[in-house]
Amino acid sequence: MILLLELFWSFVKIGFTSFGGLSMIPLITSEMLSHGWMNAAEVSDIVAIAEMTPGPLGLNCATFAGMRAAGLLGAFAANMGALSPTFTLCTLAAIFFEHFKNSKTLIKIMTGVRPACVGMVGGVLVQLALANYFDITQKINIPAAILGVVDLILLLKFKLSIPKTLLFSAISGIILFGVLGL
Amino acid sequence: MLMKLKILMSKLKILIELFITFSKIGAVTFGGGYAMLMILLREIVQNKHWATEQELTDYYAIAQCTPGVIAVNVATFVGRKTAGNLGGIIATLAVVFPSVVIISLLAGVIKAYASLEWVKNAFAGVRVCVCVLIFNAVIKLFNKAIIDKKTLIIYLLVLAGAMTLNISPVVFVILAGIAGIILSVKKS
Repeated sequence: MILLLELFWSFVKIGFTSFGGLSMIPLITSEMLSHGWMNAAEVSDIVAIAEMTPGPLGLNCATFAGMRAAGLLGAFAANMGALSPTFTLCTLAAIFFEHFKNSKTLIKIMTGVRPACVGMVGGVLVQLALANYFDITQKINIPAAILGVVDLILLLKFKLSIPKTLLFSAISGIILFGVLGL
Repeated sequence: MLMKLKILMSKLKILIELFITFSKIGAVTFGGGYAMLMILLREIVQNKHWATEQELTDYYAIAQCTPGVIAVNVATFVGRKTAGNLGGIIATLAVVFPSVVIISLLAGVIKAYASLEWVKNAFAGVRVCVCVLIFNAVIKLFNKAIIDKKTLIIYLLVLAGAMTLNISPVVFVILAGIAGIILSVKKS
């Protein structure tokens, strides 16, 4: 019981001091190591597993760390801790936003914030594209580029569903990068 | 009595729909919250009409400014808007549900798979697709958010900043909000 509370509290701290995704990793690492719940090698597995399983990265880390430390209940406690900012601060922000939705000032603010938000996602896109469409020597990875174009056509022209497009890409990845060795 | 029962049933139906939709979203979100944006656009805006593109962008911006996992914060917003407090909680738990089940079942064996060559290749393929999904989301949201020269300038400045500087998203959002107020004053 005390272990579960400790796990919960650790992830409350992690949740409130991070903004999701990879920004959680260093915090999780230090909490796991200082409590002795995982060793350094196990901690380094967290990212690999979080990336291979669907769902938000930060919560996958919480689930995996909680599982390792205290089984299924541990995973639950860690997730509840990681979700605590969502259930408190974000809900408050949502209530605030709903309340002032029609205020002229908020409309002006959001008119400025929306393009900034799209710009930030655009920035992430550029970083990810550089990592996935170019190899170490900065040369474009042609099979990856072709797969990207095919994905785009499947999504937009043929209106293929997102899960199916992801599955198609995974199989294409095995064929292109593995079987054909491109 | 019958009316009350009908209302209760329709509420329950919305909550179940919320749970199913957000579980689906949670199950196909690979590569973090950014890929989720495109999935949200398809499911929430196009299929279910629970929010507009603008609203989704607003939620995303606020979710980036509040601590915690961004994707889950967005789920809370959409759930609350669709079915109140309970809707927020249900949508949030639903996003998390599939990954908790999958990790709980596979945590032991997944490590052995992570080093296999074909698994690595499959995920290289998935990452290529994730980029395409984000690209789609950016284009869709661009058309709704960049409405004049001023918003285009904000977009370009933040894009350049996000690519070159290591600044927290919170700073960008606050600065852009201030810019929104100042620029609208100049207009009038």
